[in-house]
Amino acid sequence: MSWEVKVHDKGLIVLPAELRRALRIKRGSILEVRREGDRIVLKPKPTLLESYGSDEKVRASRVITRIHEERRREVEAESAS
Amino acid sequence: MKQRVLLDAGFFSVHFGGTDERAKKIVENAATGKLEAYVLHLNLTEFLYNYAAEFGWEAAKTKHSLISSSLFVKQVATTEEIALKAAQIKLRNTSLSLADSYLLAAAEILHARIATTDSALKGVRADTILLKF
Repeated sequence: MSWEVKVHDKGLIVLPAELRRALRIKRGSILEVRREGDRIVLKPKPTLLESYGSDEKVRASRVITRIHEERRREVEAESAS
Repeated sequence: MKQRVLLDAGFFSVHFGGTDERAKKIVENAATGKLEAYVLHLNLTEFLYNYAAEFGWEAAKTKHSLISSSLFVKQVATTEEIALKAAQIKLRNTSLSLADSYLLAAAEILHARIATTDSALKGVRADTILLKF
């Protein structure tokens, strides 16, 4: 499938809506732009928005526990000194 | 003025772990310009080394890249104003960690709510968003 798009001021182009929907490209999405000879390749990069729930819950919770424990240890050490 | 939210270290693990939909909503609203999201470098550091301890440094670098490339999460460096305010807060609340004190100071200066997993902050600022994990 291919489309033709017009290049506007400062190189702006509008990606066809069908393509945006298919690749879930939204406002704020980041695209990697690569030159391959005389071609321009645009590849959507995973975003922070799309990465919700990308880690195991148990391990993610362990990271938070580490942060809290470190903060608690710091306060306890200060109180003890 | 748009609502401002200051993201604590634990916020990112809530988001990546998918343990509280409110984290996703905050990111969505920041991405679409409905609110302004901020993170202190100090809290980013806290998140990254604790994340690396669990998932490894390469995985932490990937997460850092995701956060950094999301231009809607504005990174805040420590300023003298934040440092002074944090010192005052720490003096008044000896049970707070240094990271908590910096977070509270920055939130006050930025006029932002805090999104955190740390219940100690909720006790100091009632409007804090306490996330589940």
